[in-house]
Amino acid sequence: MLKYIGRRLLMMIPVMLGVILIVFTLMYITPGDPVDTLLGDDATPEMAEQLREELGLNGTYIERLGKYLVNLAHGDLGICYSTKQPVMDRIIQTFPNSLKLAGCSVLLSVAIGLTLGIVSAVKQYSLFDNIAMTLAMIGNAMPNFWQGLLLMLLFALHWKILPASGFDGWTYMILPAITIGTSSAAAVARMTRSSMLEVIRQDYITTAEAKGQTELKIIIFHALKNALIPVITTIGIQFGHLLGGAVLTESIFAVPGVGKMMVDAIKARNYPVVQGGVLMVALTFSLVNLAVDILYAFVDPRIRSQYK
Amino acid sequence: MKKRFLSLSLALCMVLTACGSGGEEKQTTDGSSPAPSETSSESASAGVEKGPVQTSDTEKVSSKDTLVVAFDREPATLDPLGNNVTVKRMIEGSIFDTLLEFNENMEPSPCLAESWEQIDELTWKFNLRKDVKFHNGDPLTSKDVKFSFLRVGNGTLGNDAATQFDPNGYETPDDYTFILKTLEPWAFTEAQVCSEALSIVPEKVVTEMGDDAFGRAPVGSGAYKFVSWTAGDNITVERNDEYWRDKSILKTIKFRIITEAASRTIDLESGGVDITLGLPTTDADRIEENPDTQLIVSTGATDRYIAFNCQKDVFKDKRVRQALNYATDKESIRVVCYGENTSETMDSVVPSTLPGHISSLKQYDYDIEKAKELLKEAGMENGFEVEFMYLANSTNNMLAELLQQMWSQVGVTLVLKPTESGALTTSLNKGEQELCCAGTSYSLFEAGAGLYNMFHTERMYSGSARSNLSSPEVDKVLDEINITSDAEKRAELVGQAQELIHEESPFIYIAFTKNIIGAGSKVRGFVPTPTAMYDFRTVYFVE
Repeated sequence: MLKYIGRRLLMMIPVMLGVILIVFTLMYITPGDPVDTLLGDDATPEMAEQLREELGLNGTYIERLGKYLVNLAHGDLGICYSTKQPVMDRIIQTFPNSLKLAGCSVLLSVAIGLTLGIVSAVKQYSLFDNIAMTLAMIGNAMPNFWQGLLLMLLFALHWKILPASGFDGWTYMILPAITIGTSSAAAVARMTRSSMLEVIRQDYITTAEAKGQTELKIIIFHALKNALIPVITTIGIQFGHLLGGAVLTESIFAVPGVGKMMVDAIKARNYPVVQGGVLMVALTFSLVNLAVDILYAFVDPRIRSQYK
Repeated sequence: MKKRFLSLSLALCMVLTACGSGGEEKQTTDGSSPAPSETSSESASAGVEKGPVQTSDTEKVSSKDTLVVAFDREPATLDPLGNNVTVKRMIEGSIFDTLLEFNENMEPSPCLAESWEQIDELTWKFNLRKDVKFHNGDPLTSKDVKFSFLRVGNGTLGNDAATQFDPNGYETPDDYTFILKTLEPWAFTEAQVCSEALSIVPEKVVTEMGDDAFGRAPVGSGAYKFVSWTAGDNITVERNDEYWRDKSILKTIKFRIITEAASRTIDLESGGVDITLGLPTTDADRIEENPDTQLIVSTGATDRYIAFNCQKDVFKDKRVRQALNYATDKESIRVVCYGENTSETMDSVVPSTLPGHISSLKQYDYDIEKAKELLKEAGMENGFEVEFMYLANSTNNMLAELLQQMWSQVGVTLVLKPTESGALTTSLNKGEQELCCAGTSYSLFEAGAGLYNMFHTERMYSGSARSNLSSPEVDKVLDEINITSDAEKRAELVGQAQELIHEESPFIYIAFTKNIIGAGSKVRGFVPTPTAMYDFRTVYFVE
């Protein structure tokens, strides 16, 4: 098992290198110069040139990429152009907020998604199933930013029961968590339903029924446990989407997370912050995928036996 | 920017607040003394079109003592050394003081310097107040002033506020006298030292902390002390109880950073925010109609225009620029894009709020036939294609589509190029655009200084010069304005400059935009200003 985890961790290195290469190249070819945003309208061309030199923006693509990789190998993600703080410090400030938000959204989407999925599967083609699956389709189709504003209008403006934006306590997390959790909940619900439908037609379910087990027991201990593998995969992938989806949602709800930091950095062409932020999200995504793979072993004894 | 002229009302507010503390309810008006906001709005009525709600007889001062102000972006630093973004200046204005400040007529008036004089055409002497202390308790002396000016002069971060001053000319004959020399005779010295970019910082603290750390946790002498900065979320300051003049009524101000305009408006309406600066024009009606909010509109000092890049072949001939000016129904664009009541007709490049503005220029009224005639004279009667570059947002998109439709009538095909902010600034600074949509704020409140940045050949391809006009006649007048210290004469020259620039037609005037502020219905004592820099010392809440 440990060998497997070690191998998977090593495999993450080329993935991270690929991510860096893509982000670095994209930022390099994107029109715009960080110096223009940093200096504002009053700057003289001399000031601009001096700053460009200071920030190392005058080097060639290869020089700049090489320097970035060498620094990265030393654990240095660079310095934020605007605040002059190390990028790592900015990530440490913002990442926990994004993680909290993503965590809440996952909990929410799992709770809603699993419940809807199980009931829909058990009561296939019933009115509940039809309504739940229509809602799941709508949930998947709604754009985050639109849904976010809609929730804000309803809960903050009309009913005045939740704060519109900010990040001052758990009440501030509810609306953004619902916003980014809805589409995941929809995906989890659909996956749970189809996976459960496959399982409840198996012979061992019939056997369990014949043994006189209650429906609830059969669903939880026999059906759900066997239906979980694809659901866990979906949740893992959704977690990555939640971190990524938070980019827009964090801006709408003014959550000081890594997503909002990246959006602001992209606008200002603050290259080190964008690269550091994307790298962090990619790393988390990879680690969550690894965790999901390990989780399979706990859920499915057949997979566990392969690791031995 | 601070408003000394509010001192009387502030004193009254303080008395009233003091009386109202401890849960005791106190009416704000007793017949003999004016209510806080009554005095405030009277003294600052110039340019205010839709003032803040007045305190009525029945209202009681609330014990709420935290004001939440929403901004659209986060400043990179709070060090005056950094570039001059409005948000940064506003927060700095609350933490730091300047030698002089603008009064209600937008004239330089005493602040840290209680008096000043011009000794010769290059030299200025400032006599500092002796009762000013920094937030750490150290007295503010002329050495701190010299240090502050020198570091701005040596700075590389886009703050050009001290470039006209001689770095070897700063003198401190004693602790409370500061002398500065300009490199050349310069008419805007007094206005320039009002700028937050030349805020006075404590030499000892900056030297100990270093520039970067100081920018994240600044120490000043202003009405508020820095408390905390939560990256991406808020910057909090609290009342400086040792302030050398009238203190703030409220204890705490939280400057919240909410980048999305729609979220800012909803947050104001739902009560999460007390004041929203830079409200989108499209939300103005909603805020005005909502009983929980109030709309405050004041005349600003901002132009909105379409700029021809005069260095591009297609626009080198001024007849083409004039023709397209005639082909544009400017008033329709203004009303649709900037709102009938939240903007006013732009009739010159200098805003109507500034000294020297002239309203006698013969306008390029919407006239398709005249436009066609001029294009024919310029040999462009067969039409041509032009690329229009602008910041991609809903207002500009609307403007671009209207313009595209209008110009199609004279055979000009407008290719729209909505661009995201980072890429746009770089393209404009390189002069790559043929045509763009832009705006200028006259932050020094001196038309001459603004015109110089926009139209002098020296400033071509820099931040404010979007037309890249190069005209020896215009340059000559602008140079003369720079060295004319007599305000009346300067205003006259500004008039001449406007005529010359108008004839060159580098811009299509669209609108003078007003400052639109949204506030909660319980907010009182807020004083709008044309410069859009606000002092929150007089603000308080009613129940």
